[in-house]
Amino acid sequence: MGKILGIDLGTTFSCMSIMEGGEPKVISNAEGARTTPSVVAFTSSGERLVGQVARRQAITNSENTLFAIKRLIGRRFEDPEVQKDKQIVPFKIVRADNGDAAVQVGDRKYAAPEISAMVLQKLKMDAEAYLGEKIDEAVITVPAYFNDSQRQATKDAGKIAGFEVKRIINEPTAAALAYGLDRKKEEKVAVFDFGGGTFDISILEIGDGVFEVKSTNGDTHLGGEDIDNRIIDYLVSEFRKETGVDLSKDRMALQRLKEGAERAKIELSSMMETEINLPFITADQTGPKHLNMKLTRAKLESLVDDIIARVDGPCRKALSDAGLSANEIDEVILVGGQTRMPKIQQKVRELFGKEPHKGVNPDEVVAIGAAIQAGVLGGEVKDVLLLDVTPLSLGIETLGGVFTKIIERNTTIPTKKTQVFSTAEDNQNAVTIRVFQGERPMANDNKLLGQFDLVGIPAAPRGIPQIEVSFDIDANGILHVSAKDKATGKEQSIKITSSSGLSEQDINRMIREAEEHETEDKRRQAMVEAKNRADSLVYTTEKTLKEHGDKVDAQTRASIENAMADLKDAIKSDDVDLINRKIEALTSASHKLAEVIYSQAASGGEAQGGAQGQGPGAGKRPDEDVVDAEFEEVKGDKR
Amino acid sequence: MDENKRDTMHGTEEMTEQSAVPQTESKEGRETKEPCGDIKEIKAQLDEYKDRCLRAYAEMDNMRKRLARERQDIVKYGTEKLLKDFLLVYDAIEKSIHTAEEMHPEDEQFIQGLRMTEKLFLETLKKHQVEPIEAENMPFDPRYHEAMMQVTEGNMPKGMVVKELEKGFTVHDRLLRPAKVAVSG
Repeated sequence: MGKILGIDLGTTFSCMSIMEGGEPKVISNAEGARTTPSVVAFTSSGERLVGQVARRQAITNSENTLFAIKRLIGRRFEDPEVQKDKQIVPFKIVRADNGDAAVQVGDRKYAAPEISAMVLQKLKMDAEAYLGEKIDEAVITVPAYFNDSQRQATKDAGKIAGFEVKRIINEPTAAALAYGLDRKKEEKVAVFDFGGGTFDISILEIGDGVFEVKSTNGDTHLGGEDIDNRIIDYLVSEFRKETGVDLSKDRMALQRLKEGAERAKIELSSMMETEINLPFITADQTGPKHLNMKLTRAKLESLVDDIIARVDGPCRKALSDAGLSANEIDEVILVGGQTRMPKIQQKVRELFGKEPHKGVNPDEVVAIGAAIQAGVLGGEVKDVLLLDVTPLSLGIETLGGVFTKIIERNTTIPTKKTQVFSTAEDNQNAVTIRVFQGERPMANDNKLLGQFDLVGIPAAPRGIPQIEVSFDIDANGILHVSAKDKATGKEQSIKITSSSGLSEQDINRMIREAEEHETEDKRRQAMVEAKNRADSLVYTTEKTLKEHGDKVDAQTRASIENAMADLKDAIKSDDVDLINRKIEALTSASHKLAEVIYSQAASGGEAQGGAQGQGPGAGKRPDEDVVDAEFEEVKGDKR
Repeated sequence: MDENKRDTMHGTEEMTEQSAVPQTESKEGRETKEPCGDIKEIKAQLDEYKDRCLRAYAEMDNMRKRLARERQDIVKYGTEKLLKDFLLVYDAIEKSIHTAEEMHPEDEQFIQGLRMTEKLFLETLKKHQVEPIEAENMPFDPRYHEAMMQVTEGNMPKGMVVKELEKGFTVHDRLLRPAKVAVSG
């Protein structure tokens, strides 16, 4: 059972998505674009072009460049929509033998599903190249207003392209799926789809995994292109006022204007003002002319006010057809790139009285929803639901009350992590493992889940014993914590069932608290760390002095002892800066001692063992490898 | 028609056919069963879990490979958006040269300076594998050229690029921006 591709087969653009590791993911086409124009062309040499390539040659080959086939699919030739299209498009729309609308290219007739199949085939090939495996199944979306024959024709298109079409689903349903609305109980959802060329509004009723389209409405000739054109018209007229030159006669200038207008439109979704800069846009006898205009968001909004107002009627109609009033709608979803415009979002708020859902790319939301439906059919989504994550981090308390995380929050379970710690005192023969759950850096601010002792550790200097601590969460969320002394093989463990865990409310509270206390916690953590560092530096220096003190002169020795006394005093204070300063003073004071030891070790070779045992703390930066916790971390995760 | 307006997440024949999950028996059913039936069931379940486990591993492995490839692509093509935006500056330079050449051909030093600026720009791009696309007098190729207009030029054969209106570029052999051209018709 391979993967199932989710496809948004659009009028102007198509987009595809797949479940990957339980998450929907949009797949780029071979050219690296996340959407593919739904355009097919036949060249004079008999070559078939699909997508952006077909679009680029449209002007030279308009009769054989087919677009917006979605308007024809599954319709009879006599259908008024087809007849209307026939007047507009440059290619030939003809009657197929069965009476359906078809297109004529050269002396060959193509049924509409055949052309759509070519778009689907390209998506299939590109997806296969990306995944490195064959894809034979697909979920394809259609507008909610599509009737049986349009749906069947879309399914046929999929079949011709080599897909087994597992399901045809409604575009608004797919959008709702992308926002995970199927997981809620019973809801009424408005899906507001303002695309490049068409506007659709659908009212859905969701319950128990069933999506029912209560009503749909829209305008097949209303979209983002209207807004672009309005900006272009404005720029042309302003430019004419300024210079007397009519840019609308100059194709290349118009193209640059179009691109500039689109850029400005996009920028004005996030900024209040933008500049359209098109140097050398044209020239006349007097010299070159530049277009340089400021456009504010307010100006743009006033330019397109009447275009946006055209959504009012269909939205009201859809609501009344569904027998609902605006305040009965629980959720509003935005689909289509143009819904990024703040004015449109404001319009939606006005119409439905609530904040629309955002977050999923509105150009991709339908394809993503199709992939999720595909994942459900393929069993993938169900599988993933079985996998849980740890809502909060888990770890143990280490020296100074610091919380050392072993398993980070949001780790997918089952999982197992191991870290090696050591002792904090010489001859320490037992350690207490205190297991905590939470996000705060200090252990006591988190929730204690349980504790146990590991005893019988053989006498050794601090930092030498290796105690391996393992956290293992099984698929049922049960946590096993074990500690093992690597020298003796002695082991202790504890089992913590999930029932001792936390409610969702607790979890949210704890995460919130962690955020609130961040600054204060950091300060406390820094304090503990500084003290730990100071403490271990004093420890190693004392030890070194005891063993090698006689190898340096009395003056050096005195200066080290003074610095050490200073540091001990500083530890008693709660002044991080002071502690750090004194650490530095002691480190530099003991440099000489370290030098002497190392030079002797190098020449004599006898003091080697000792030097190693002391660790680098004697002479190097104290924070590098020195014991800084009750359980010093010796190794990283065992993998 | 009404059926069309309903989408269900689960539960059509299509779906149940596909799912390999065996239906677990109800409690009463199990009690009346022979023990060997239980073992069969457990074995089937075991097989299914094993299968799922292997699939999960395989998927992970494939995902790792894909991500590695994607990472490469990000390094290679990650600058596309930035480059595209910067090409607008190149267009302005190129247009200023054309205009200067037409309007003030006598100002040679100035034009030379502009040309050097253009050259610098192109060479800098080249260092990062961004190369201009050849267009003029080449056969029209929609993979690299975008037709802005069609012109009838007396002696030109059909389907040739008569004029380059805006330079196109590739990055690492992938199209960054097509050359905008006029094509003979």
